[in-house]
Amino acid sequence: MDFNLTQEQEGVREALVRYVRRHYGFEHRRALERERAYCPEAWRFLAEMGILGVALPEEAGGLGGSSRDVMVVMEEIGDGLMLEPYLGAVVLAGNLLACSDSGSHRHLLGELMSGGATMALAHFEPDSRYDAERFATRATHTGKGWTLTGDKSFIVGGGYADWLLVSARIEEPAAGLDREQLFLVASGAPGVTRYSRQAHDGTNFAEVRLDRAMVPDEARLRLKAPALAAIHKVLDQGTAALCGEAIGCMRALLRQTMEHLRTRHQFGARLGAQQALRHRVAEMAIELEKARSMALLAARYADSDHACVRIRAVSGAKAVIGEAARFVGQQAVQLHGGMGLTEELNIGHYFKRLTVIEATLGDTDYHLSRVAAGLRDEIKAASPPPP
Amino acid sequence: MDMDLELSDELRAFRDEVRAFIAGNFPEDLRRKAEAGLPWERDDHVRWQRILHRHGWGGPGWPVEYGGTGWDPLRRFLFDTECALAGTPREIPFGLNMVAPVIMRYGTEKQKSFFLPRILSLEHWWAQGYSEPGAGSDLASLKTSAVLDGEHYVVNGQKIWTTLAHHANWIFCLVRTRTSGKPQAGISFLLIDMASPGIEVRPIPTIDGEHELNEVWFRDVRVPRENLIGEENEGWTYAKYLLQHERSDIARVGRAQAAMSRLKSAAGRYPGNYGGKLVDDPLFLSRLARAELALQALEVLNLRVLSGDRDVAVSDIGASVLKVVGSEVHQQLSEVSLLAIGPHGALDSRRDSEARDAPGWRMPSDDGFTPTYFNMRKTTIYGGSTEIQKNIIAKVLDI
Repeated sequence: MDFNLTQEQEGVREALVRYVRRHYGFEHRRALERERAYCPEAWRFLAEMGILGVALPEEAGGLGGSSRDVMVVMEEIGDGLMLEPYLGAVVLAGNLLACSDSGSHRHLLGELMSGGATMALAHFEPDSRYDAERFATRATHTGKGWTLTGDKSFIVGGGYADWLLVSARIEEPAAGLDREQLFLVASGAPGVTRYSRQAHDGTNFAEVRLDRAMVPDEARLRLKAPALAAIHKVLDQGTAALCGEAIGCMRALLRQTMEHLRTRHQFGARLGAQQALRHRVAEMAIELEKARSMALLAARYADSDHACVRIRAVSGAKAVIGEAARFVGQQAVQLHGGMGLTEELNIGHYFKRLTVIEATLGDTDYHLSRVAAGLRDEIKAASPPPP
Repeated sequence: MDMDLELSDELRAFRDEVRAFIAGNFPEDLRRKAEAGLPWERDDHVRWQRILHRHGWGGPGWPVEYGGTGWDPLRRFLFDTECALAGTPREIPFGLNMVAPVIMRYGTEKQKSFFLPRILSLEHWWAQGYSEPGAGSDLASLKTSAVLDGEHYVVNGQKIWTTLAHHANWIFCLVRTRTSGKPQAGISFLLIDMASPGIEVRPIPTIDGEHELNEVWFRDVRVPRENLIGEENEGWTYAKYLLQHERSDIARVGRAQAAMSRLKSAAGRYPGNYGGKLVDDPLFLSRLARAELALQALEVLNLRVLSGDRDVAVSDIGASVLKVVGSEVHQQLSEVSLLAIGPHGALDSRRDSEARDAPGWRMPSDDGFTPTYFNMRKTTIYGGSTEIQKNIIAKVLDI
């Protein structure tokens, strides 16, 4: 029940803070955003520090860490407003691929951790909204392997990925085979058309059209758990990670807003002398601490194999953090006045990142509904049945 | 949060021990009263405190040398939570958690040996004489005066919002012993026997229909000089020290958990608007889910503060954030509870107890929801209002 960081976590945190301070200034980030790119040096740094393998299993060459370790990383990614596809490549795709024990998949995971290859999870589709079970991409077994047909959207970091983990349904599954399956597809494979898209905050989401894309038999992930359960789990882990990133963004916004109130003068006095503004900042701090408490809860339970335990913590966190992030983001812009609206100041960019986080992997309403459904089941189970 | 997963074996054993003790020792008539949501009387509090005291648990926040349990904050929290879930009469904090720590730290040996055992046994029921009509959030502007006359202070003035003063036989007061200089520098901390001539307690009926608050008037009340705590004019220091202890269970998480579990049970039993139960109404369910999440955030926040999260933000502003969040959660729960009973929330059953046979007469536990809603408005006002807490947070953040 110790909420403080371990020595290792503290080391990772400090290394990231130092790196961002020295090499990842706001102008550098703006240039990357204009080029629709992430920073290869930063990615190499993450690989060298072992950060890309923090949460991946030891038997695959990772450090065997937990979602709490991921949260430490994501907080600093959020605070540094970093564009690197850590969430998409490592937390979503990497964690999922790590469920497969095939030798070639293990090898690819090694390449991911060393920074040699990136990957992304191609699961959601244009009509999925946030429902992880609504996907229609078809997989058909042929003599040579599988062909995949369907459209995938909202692929976090997908524009940078060498490999895509594609979810699909088998039309006529052989005995003992689940209908839902995952396939590892090279993003340049024949039949794969990729559209790299940029979000408001400069991060990358891709869309992919699969038109009878052919993959060999070994491309199908052989998992211990059903693919759908594995997808649910990894989406919850990704959601918990996003919660951590949001905390980092909010922390940065609060820090800068406080500094602004200390130094900006109007009517012959510091802005910070106005009680209305002091209280607003206090409210931002309160929201941040509520949000951080929930993010810690999410990180603690995101790795559970029990879906209901995960949902309670992770969806609860995303719902609370969605509202906190909107408040902190909007107020940071408000308290910076016109400057908060400019491209030139990073405040608006944090605000945009938080807005994109809200729309990623389930918004407040989606996650609140999930919590509510769980609550309803709990109450129904405890209530006496009607006579 | 699933506390079970969070506890070490040792703490879980402790929690089970507390649970078993309460199950075996909470008197049946009090248990029924708790289930019915009836208000506690003075004697109920005294009985339960004495049961705890006999078992050595009368001072859950006290060090062993003064007869306390010596529990760490986490054990203290688990104890409070178990008591709240079982619905035992709530701890009366004015003696145990407010004046006692001040006496332990700044009192004379005589004061310690006289007062501390009587606080543990609740022979002395204490009240807190802080606020005045002209000194609410701005406490340091208080005017109640104490003038030395031989071996006695002569006290004149008026205290207000004095919780349960009508039950109290002692009151600790902040009084003015000097009018020059900074307002904080002329305040002394005085222990006053409520049986002294010249003290008058007048009830302040509140909108929840209960009598909890009072005015306490002092007219030429003679208080022995030996009842002064520490040094004259140093009372503000002691008051600030007291405040740290007042905040140890500031969020009252256990009580909030108990309120949530009553609310869930109500949602499963009460009819909804669309044929099913209340829990089937989507908008109500959404309110319930939001309240549940607010409570969850509070639980973790409370644990973070208790376990000493080194996070700069929390350790420095933790108590104030906890006070703001905790009080809002209590209010939110009371609001959803009020909505849960729908039209029954309009009626006050205490006004027409002869109507027990009326077709719409609710179970007493349901009736408790409305007064609680009115009563809970106090939580953002007392103990440093939400606005004062935000002032403190802004000051600590050095804006």
